[in-house]
Amino acid sequence: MSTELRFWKSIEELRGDSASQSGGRDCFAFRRQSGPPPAPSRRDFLTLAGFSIAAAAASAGCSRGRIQKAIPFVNEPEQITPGVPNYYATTCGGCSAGCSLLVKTRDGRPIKIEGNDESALFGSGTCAVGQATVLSLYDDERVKGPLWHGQRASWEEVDARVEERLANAVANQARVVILSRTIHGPATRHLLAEWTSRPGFEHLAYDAVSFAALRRATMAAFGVEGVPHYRFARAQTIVGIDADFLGAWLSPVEFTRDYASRRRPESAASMSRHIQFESGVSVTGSNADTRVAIAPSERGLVALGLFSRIAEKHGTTGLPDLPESALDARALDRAADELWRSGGESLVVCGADDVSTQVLVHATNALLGNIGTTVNIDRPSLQKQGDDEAIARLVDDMSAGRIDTLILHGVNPAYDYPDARAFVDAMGRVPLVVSFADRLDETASHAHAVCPDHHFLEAWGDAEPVASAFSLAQPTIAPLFETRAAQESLLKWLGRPPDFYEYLRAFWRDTLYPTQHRYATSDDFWDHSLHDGVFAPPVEAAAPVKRPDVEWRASASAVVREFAATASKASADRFELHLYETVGLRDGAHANNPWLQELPDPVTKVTWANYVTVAPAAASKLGIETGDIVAIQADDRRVELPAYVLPGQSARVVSVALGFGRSNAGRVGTGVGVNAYPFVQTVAGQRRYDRTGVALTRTGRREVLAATQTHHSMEGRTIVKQATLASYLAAQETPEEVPPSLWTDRPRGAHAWGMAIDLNACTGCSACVTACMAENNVPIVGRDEVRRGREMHWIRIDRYYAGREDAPDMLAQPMMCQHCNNAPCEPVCPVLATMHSSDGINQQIYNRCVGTRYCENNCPYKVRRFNWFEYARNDRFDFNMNSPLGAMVLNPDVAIRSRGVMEKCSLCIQRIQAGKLTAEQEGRPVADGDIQTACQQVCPAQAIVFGDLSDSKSRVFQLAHSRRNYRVLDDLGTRPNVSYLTKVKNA
Amino acid sequence: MSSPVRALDTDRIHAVRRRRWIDEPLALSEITDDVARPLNTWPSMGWFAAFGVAVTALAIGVACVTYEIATGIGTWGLNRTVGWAFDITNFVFWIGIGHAGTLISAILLLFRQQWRTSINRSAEAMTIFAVICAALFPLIHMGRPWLFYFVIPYPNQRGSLWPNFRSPLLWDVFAINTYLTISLVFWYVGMIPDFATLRDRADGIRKRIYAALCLGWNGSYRTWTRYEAASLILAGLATPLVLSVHSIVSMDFAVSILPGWHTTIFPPYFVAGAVYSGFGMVLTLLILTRSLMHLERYITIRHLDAMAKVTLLTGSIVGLSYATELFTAWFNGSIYEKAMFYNRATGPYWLAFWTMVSCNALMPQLLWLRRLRTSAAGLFVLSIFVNLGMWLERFVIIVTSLHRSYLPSSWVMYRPTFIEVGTLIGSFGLFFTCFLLFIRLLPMIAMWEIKAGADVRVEEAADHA
Amino acid sequence: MPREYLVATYAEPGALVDAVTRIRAHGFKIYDVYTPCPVHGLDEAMGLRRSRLGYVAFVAGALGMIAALLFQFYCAVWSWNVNVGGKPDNSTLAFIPITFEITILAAGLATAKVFLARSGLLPGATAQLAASGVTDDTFAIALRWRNTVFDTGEARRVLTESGAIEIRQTEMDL
Repeated sequence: MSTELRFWKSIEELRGDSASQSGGRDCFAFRRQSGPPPAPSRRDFLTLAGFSIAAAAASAGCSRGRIQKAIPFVNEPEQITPGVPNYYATTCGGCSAGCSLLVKTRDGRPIKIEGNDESALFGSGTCAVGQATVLSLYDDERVKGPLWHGQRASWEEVDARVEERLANAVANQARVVILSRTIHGPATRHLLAEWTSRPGFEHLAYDAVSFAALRRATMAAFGVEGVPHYRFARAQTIVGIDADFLGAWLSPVEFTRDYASRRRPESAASMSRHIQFESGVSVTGSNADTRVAIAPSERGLVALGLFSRIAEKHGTTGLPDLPESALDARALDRAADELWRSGGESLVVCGADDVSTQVLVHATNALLGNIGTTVNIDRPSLQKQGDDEAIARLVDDMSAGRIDTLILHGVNPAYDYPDARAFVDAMGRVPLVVSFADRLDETASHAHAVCPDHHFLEAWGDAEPVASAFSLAQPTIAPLFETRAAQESLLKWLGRPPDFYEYLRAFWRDTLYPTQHRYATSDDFWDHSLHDGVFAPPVEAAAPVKRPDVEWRASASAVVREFAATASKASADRFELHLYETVGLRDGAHANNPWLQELPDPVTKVTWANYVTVAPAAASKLGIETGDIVAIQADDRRVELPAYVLPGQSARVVSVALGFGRSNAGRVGTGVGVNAYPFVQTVAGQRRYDRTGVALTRTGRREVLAATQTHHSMEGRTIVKQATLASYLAAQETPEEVPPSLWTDRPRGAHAWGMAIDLNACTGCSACVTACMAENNVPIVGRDEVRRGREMHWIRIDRYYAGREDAPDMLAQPMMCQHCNNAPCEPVCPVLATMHSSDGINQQIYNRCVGTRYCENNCPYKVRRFNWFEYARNDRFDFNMNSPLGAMVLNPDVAIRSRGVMEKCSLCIQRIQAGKLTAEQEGRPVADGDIQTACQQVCPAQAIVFGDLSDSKSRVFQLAHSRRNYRVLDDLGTRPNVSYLTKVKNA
Repeated sequence: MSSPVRALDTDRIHAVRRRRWIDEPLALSEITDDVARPLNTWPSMGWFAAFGVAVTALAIGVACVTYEIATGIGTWGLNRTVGWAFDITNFVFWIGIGHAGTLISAILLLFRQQWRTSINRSAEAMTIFAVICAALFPLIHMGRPWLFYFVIPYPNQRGSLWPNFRSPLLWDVFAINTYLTISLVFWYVGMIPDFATLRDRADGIRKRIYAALCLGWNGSYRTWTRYEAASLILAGLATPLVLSVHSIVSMDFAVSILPGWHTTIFPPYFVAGAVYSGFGMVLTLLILTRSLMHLERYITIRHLDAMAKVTLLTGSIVGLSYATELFTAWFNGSIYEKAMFYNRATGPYWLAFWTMVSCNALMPQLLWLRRLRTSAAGLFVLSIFVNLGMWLERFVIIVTSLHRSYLPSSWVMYRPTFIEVGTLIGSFGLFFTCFLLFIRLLPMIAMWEIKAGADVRVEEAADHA
Repeated sequence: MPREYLVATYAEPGALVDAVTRIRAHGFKIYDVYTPCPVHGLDEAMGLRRSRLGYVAFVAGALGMIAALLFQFYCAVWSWNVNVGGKPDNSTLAFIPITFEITILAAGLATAKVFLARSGLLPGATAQLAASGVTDDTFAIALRWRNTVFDTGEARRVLTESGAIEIRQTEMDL
């Protein structure tokens, strides 16, 4: 049976082994069995089986003598070996970045998302959202089948009505509009092209968080349709202007990977320098060498300032003189010098929603000779195709009754459109509104027909996030409900056979297969592409470096004009409002995902809410503290939010996160936080995620924010070590000496598992936290319990500030069980429920634990987590572990902990065991890299390295003996097996 | 011809004269009557009132504990950083209370302190009830109390599976059980002669009960001599035991690596504190009962005075320990230690800290005043403060050390829930319920010891001789 | 089995001690003395041996200590030597507290048990009082009656002289 497993792992096997090939065929064949009403198929069957197995797992630890239904395999399905995971390559639908994934399925259930090494863009990393998408698959709130006017209906019924409507739309030339999220899958786009080829049939892309300005500027500057593809790996100097490219901006996984690859002080010469100008405090900003707090209204000036300085160096004349501003000119000088020094190896990225500003940024990059090196416009990113002006026109047309049918695909404008009310009213004027939404969200609840789309893990699809970087998406489980792929609905209504698998395969055969020469037959090509998940046609010689002559004068004067305008309106008691996406919830589409809701924000460590961040100076001026509820007034928009006093924030700016305040997200996400989209304004046709002239007033009420960390000073203790590159290079070789111990070392086993975490690579993006939740069945406890300091995360990212309050150093430190060799938690346990393995792992034995909590008290790192309640099958904690459906995501290799026992990081002991077993089966020693912990696997920056410290050739050994290595609280003599690499910044 | 006997007589007489603890001369039968009276009469209204209150408190406690065990430790205010608070505070508090009893009955016996005779019986009773209250908390503080037997090294079929003899919590298990057992034995053996006395004046069912309890005691002097030997040995064993028990309790903390817990001063410091708090409780109880049961003749002001002196002594030792701790924190140069004590004194729990200091280190100094030592009312008020102060001491040690330890990232606040407060109230309810029953059902003063110490007829004997 | 006794009762300890001394001086063997409380000097007067309970306590304690120490050593070193915080298997120091407690426990229980057994204080044992009130306020001396070697007159005389309140000659089972 393991041949099927290998089928997905190595081509050679595939070539030789016909059995596995038939198996492979079959894995395409199952698709034909789906579609309503689903005939009982292997995968449905597995769904049930997996379902009951998960139920068993869910109650394994927590209940005695509860009877579980377990459905045995009547006839063993091929491809599936019980207990052996299968991996399927697919493409992430979490956001428009379209990362390539490997999905781990157990007994027919996808249970874990992993990155796809084969992908040249994304590597093995993923982000927090990507990790969490697997839970959305098992969301109780999903629509279980087609709805007509809110009532369950059969597909035939709904199809009939829709087709009838479309028919007479065609008859009397009425307009039929598909409003979809950005779609870059070539096959789907081809399908949409067919659709729009009909008279009156149109397609519009809509992004909740719009990049329209950037697209427009790119068109204006380079005449290119799309967003430039930024290559941080090639950049020696990076200047960011309000672009949170390590957190939530465009393609964070790819950018983090590239960025981190240049932040290794070991190769000092190539270590990149990073200067960030930003309004809020972002993950990106907290990793920058130099961080300059600005106001949104100054982005233009920063861009212009940089441009004119560069242009000056370049010898351009006729530059406008900059208006007076609070901007730190010296910072700009330094940034410009840095950029200039590293010529074509520099990069300026900007998150502004203003065309002129973006044009200036493009111009700067052009002058620096970055086009073709760090800024690729020949093969631009195809994300974010939304066009704000087109949407605005659409709304007008709808309200004017000029739209006959509106088809909504993966969009939720009734929530995230700035003037949602107007959009809903306009929708009311459309005779037929069809939604493909997976739940009755704010928009779908107003639609006449809901034709639920598959979750991306149930569906076929493809993606092209960056021009000619293709990837495929394949189902990893049969549809759980009576849903139908959006593409199939469209095919059906076009009167075509509703079989997107065939369509997709045909498209790849006809369009992509010819572009390559490696594979003789299209089947061969398809099998490999599907196995790899990605396909990139052979590239001709890299695009030559260009210095396109960008027309900047108009933009420059526009920027100056606008700044003058805002400056005149500015007053001392008014703030500028800055709206941003958080790493967890992004634009809010995943609001019903408890993993993401309970993911502490990398900057503030707050969960389960949004808030308004205020600079300490401003806060003391207004007399507010963290937790005080303040009213935010901007023109006619007013919301009330708790304040969060945030060091590093500009004193003139307050920031509010988007993606909260959903009203129809579902049990988990509805009513969490406040919706900030209404603050989005439209300027010169572009949606703008900032505002000036915002008033803050105290309401006198308070609310305790559910933060997992409330104290951010290191109190002068060496917890996170930081050095400047200069001092690091100057320093002599000083290997960390281990303090003496009273006891002689105990005999070691075959391995000495250990971990090294590079604080230079770690950005604090928190993907590892989500990965750990998914891998180790970490329970979600909800807002109140987090308030009480009872979150259960096995790994957390500690966040410390150092230095000045207005411009602090921000340090992130992943902290999990340190697996001390002289562990303080072990001797104090009266029942030996925690002890040391011969392989150096500090083990927790759940069924022996009686819960005295002494180990927790005695752990200097405070990484142990106690089960205060029964978290599974308990209505007090109505999250995924409380529903049989949600429980399907549970990892059967990890026990559900019962109430009253202690738990903590096990270094993914189940993965270690699996790795050892595989090695044993193959009769070889465990090789370095065979075993990856969940947090290591997910890390896009590859900051975490796990391995055998007794093997002097292993990577972890090298790192553990590198100059930067140190152990936290080593002076206590705990001798941790987890060590850290000092953070090194450019001075 | 029997002059040595005479000589010995007179010695004894003078000796007895020197320590007179009971004022007016008493006939031996009078003593019996006084002590046995409460056992034969119907309780007073005051007793019923007190009992009602105690039982109500106990009921509250039972409700809270039931809810906690049914739902989870989450019903308490603990969190990922503060794993212990009220639970272990109450445990140490009650254990401490117990120690005064053993001290009075055992150590003072070894030192031949006559004055203990009036109070040792009730003091021992107090010990036992206190230890029962204390033992309750380690049990219910477990996440899975129904598995408490995991801590017992019983032979099992799970292969080799033993508890961890390195864990101070396991030491606790043994210490507490030993302490409870020995105290019970000591108490019971002490009551055997009195049971006999009661047997001979009671009738009916009561007679049968007392007869069973006194194991056929008939006052034989050969037995009396062994009896005294046995008492001395038990006393000799109980004395190091009581010291060891609280030392071990203190090691629950001292063995850890937590700043504020990891201190070698803890054993003596805790023992002194225990005796201090114990005497506080003895004062509270006896001042109440002597008026409630009209035993002023036996528990005289001089008894109170003597106890007050012990309180003053131990209180001063506690004060000294505080000073030492602070000094070492400042002196040893560990930033963690320094930060911890700074936080203790000025952090969010400063009020608890300073109340503790004033109750335990400053207030006892008032006992230098003879007027306070000899005023029942004054001592009663003071004893309440002692109890409060010593409870707070444990709270401060546990919570302030935990809530802000090594990594500032996990610093949190702890706030008790009603369930925790209710459990504390319940433990007091249990304690007083037991004590009130005790004073109605058992001789709360050791008759035979009073008789042995009473100097009534001895005087006449002297004249007669 | 019931026997004949000569029982003299006294109202206060002093007289009792006197009497005991006198009677023994006259060569009478005292069967036993019954008192409501220990009387200082009476044991000397009666010439009673020092109790040997101390040895019992010592032996029991010693055994308890050895047993406790061995058991912990067996568990932690032989039977199940796991790595606990890098400490050595034989953390003898850590075994001391429990050893100490077990020592005390063994000694204490043994003492109490032996004392009760030796004094015939057993569950269900019934007592016959030499005279009423010996558990309250009366002190009594009992002489075992033997008509062979026993001059009743002499005995009664000595007892009366020593201030006996009442002298009875009865048959009972002491």
